[in-house]
Amino acid sequence: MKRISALLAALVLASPILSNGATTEPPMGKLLYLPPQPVNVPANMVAVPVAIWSNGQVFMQWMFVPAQALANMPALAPPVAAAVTAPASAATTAVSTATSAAAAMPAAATAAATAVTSAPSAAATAAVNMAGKLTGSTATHARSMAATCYSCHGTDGKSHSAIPPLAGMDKSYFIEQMKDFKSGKREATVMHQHAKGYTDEEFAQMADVFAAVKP
Amino acid sequence: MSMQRRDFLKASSAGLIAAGLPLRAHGAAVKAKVVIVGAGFGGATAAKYIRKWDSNIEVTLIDREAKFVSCPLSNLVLAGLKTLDDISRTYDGLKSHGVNVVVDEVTAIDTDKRVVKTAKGSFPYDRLIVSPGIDFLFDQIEGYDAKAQETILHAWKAGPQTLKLRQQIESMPDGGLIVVGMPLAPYRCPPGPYERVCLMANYLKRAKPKSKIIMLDANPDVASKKPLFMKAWNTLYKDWVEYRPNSKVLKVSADKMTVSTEFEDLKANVINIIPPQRAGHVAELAGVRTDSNGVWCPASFVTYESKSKPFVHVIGDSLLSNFPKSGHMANNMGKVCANAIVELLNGREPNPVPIVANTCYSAVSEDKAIHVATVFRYDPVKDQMTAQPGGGISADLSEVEAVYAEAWAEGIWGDVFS
Ligand SMILES: Cc1cc2nc3c(=O)[nH]c(=O)nc-3n(C[C@H](O)[C@H](O)[C@H](O)COP(=O)(O)OP(=O)(O)OC[C@H]3O[C@@H](n4cnc5c(N)ncnc54)[C@H](O)[C@@H]3O)c2cc1C
Repeated sequence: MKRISALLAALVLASPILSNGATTEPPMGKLLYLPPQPVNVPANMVAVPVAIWSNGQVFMQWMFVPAQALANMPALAPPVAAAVTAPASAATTAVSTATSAAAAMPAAATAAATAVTSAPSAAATAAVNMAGKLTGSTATHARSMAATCYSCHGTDGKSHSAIPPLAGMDKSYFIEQMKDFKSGKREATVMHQHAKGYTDEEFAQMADVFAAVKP
Repeated sequence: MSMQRRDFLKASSAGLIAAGLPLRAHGAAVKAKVVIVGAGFGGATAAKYIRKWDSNIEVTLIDREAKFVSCPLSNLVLAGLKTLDDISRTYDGLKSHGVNVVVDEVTAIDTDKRVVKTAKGSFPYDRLIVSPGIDFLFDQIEGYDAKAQETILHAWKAGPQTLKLRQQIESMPDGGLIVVGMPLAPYRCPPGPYERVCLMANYLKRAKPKSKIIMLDANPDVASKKPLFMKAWNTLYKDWVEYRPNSKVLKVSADKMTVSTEFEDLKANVINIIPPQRAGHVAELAGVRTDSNGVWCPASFVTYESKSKPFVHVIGDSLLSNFPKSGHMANNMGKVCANAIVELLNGREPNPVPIVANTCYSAVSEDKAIHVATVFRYDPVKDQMTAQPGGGISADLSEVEAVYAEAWAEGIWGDVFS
């Protein structure tokens, strides 16, 4: 949690970047999810979107900052790099990521999120470079994807019906079958339609999940 | 669409935040609380999977019904091919996952204080999921008042109405007429009304061969699996089914047993009207039934968090989306939502590109079935769920698919409730 207080400090210092109204195309494809803006904010506090950097992952959250601290900041001071001087470099990078990530939000993101816009600065560029290296939450994507199969094949792939089980299936066998469904090499009533919805890389991720289950 | 900082500050108001990262930041011993309203396909799935993926989260699941009766396969009950017991499940399996199951009617939701109220208690939450299914808009059909609803059934929520409609069909004389009316899309279960007509016809063909069904469809055409249902009607049920598109039911009379469209008045022995629908009342209580007509609930496809109320997630039939309103989709949404809530409550980023899939089987006779299958993937640029290429319907009516249709039901009931 030390990291977070450092971030808050960085955020307060960097807050001018929150007020620049310009919206630009996201500089990269990486989407960071920002939850809807909280409506219940403690008295004398403001909710601000921040990017938290932990264990090499970046995610967005709303944090509460004393309103006074934000109010004291000069509005629209353009050079972000200049505004952010005091905090440690890692924290600087993370806070800046918030701005570029917010710019990458889809159209339906909250208006508040749109208020936090891209800051074309050295710090933002650094953040883009860092975010570009992220793989996203691969583990939870795999978990969630494999769970789409459970509706028919049973939780964890443990089927108790005419539909074949997937639990404990050999990884390469699973991948091969899915590829064959996709190409039409293996005939099916329905699996050819599902297989086309996933990438080969995703087959491998799901295969790992099933291979790890004790049947 | 940008806001100046002043407006941005104004948009924040007084109160307290206790979920997501801040909750974890305050102390290790605090257990996050998730309350779920609706123990159907969406809500029960979410309850099980939150517990499966993080047993530190307290999950309370509230439903007014003491047990689950499945809409999927309920049309087979109408045809006398299954009993209500065959398609019912208890909540015992969920309890074994540590889900607190509360059988009670939800009467109020305070989204500021974050408390759900039932007749008997109050349930505070860090995050709330609502999966209340649908409500019917009876008042869009003239004469379809509370009295008429006793005779003219919808049977679009499985349970007592399913049995009663079955009895009506059974006690109809041979040579009688059944009229089935269905609403404009979107409605719960796109292929469901057509499946129902097939299975009612299947029963008539076996037991009352001189009888007939007229289907009044408000849609301009068969709204789901068209070539397959048409084939069933034209081959299996030629003498039993008459299909009429563009035939919105405008008026009913239970006394005279008549149904009226713009074009005709029909007198029938059994009238089964599936009324237009909207998100269940609970969605209104939570303040999330906020699309432009106040009918469905807009929410994020990444977390299913409502676009109008923070900390309230909406899944299942109530959602505003391009998804078919199916149990399979509700089950898939329940998992994506559970996954996201677990991540949020642990201060991590939710999976940013979720995938959900749908497979809807329809029985067309006692031994033949068909399906439609689609995979949807989140497109972060368009902020929408995109149907992936490759989805589609069965090649033909088939016996092997009837076996899979049954297996699907067993599979999904197990996935939701065991
Ligand atoms: C005839 C028919 C056939 C179908 N066949 C299929 C099929 O083959 N495959 C398929 O995938 N889907 C099928 N469906 C669709 C499927 O049933 C729905 O899409 C699914 O039930 C939606 O799940 P849900 O969680 O949104 O709602 P539900 O499953 O309806 O759950 C909502 C729950 O909320 C509870 N509730 C509501 N309000 C309150 C309150 N105030 N207090 C307490 N509890 C409350 C209700 O009691 C209910 O249990 C069919 C539907 C019908 C009608």
